[in-house]
Amino acid sequence: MLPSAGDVIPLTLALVLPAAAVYLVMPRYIKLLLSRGRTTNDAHKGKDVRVPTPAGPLLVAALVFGEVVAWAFYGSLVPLVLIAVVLSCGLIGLYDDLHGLGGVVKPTLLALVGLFVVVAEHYHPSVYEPTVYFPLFTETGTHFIIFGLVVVASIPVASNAFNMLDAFNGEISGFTAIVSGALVVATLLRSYAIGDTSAGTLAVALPLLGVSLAFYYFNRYPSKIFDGDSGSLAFGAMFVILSIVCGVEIAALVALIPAVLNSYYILSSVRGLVERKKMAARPTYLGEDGRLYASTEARAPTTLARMILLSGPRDERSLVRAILTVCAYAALLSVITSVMTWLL
Amino acid sequence: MKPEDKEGKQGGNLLAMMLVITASWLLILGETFVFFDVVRPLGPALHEGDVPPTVLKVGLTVGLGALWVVVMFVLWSIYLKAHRTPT
Repeated sequence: MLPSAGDVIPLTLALVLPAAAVYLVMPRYIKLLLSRGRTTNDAHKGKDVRVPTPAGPLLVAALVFGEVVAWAFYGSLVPLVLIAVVLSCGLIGLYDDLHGLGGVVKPTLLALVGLFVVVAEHYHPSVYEPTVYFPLFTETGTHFIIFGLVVVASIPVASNAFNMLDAFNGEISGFTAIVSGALVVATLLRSYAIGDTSAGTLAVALPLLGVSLAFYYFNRYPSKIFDGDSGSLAFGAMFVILSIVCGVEIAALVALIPAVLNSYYILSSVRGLVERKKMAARPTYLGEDGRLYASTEARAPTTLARMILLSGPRDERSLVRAILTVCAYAALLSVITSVMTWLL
Repeated sequence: MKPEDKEGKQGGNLLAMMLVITASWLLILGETFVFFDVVRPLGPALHEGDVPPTVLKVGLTVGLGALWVVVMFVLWSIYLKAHRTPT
């Protein structure tokens, strides 16, 4: 069942209010970071360009605000669980921004956040349905333990996949907006097809779309602010838990293919969990003509950007456009997957 | 001069990357078919049946995941070889 006319205002507010919060507060937040000297070098510019960071705390606050709006209108436990997840992962990311976390400690802490979601479902079985719906076929049986293990593993995997895709101006914000759009479409189609998804479920999915779209305005080339690990980890954790509570895991997985491949190729090429700052070589380098080139060093990690640049150098704006085009293509496949799952 | 002011050709096309994404997607769909048509009918539902069919089902499911990883690795190697600049 699709949302009724009475749901239009709550759903609009769940989308628009957190986006407006980011749009209105971000300029002052940027000034605050600048006044405190919280800046980092934008590595892909020809000269020393300092960019404020991290935007994560404001993004997390906006996501929490959006979930509070959803909770105020629909009052289920799900927005509260999402608030706990996004706050926890945002804090883990903020600690990583300020002090640094090891390549093993960070995934372990993120897995504990996933464990919290499983415990919440155990004590209040309305958070998610421990079943996966596949395209063309049917759903699996209900498997609390197996599904719980997947939930625990999914947060570190997805958060790090988002984090590893956070290298260029506008990349993470554009990617998050694209995949969260695909997730909203999948949730709508599920609502239409089997009717067990309420407007409240759709309402909890909308703040991520609104926040990432508003953030893209500031994060696009040339970036006025970077999100930091606090932003990318919170985005990743929010997305994957949304896919679980909305019951659209396969469509979400398909939308995430570029990020999953990016992570997989990085981990394969550096052979293990290695912090980005500790990698032996950079995957790309800035040429004298101001364009980015794929690194020719054998020890450099293979990233999506490096693979795209193997077919020729690009400036940063063009490279991000290419990456987002690939992500949009995966989102299109995700929508096709949703149609195959819910309408065929 | 700012990078955005630069003239000149920007990289190659994205067709090869799109093909990798498409292959990954088709593999997910294909493995879904194998999961429901081959693995699932092998025995009773998990938590209900004897250990051997359960272990077999879990093992085959993990094998499907491993197959995805191997195919993606092969595609990566092909992609890198196809785009390697001769030195």
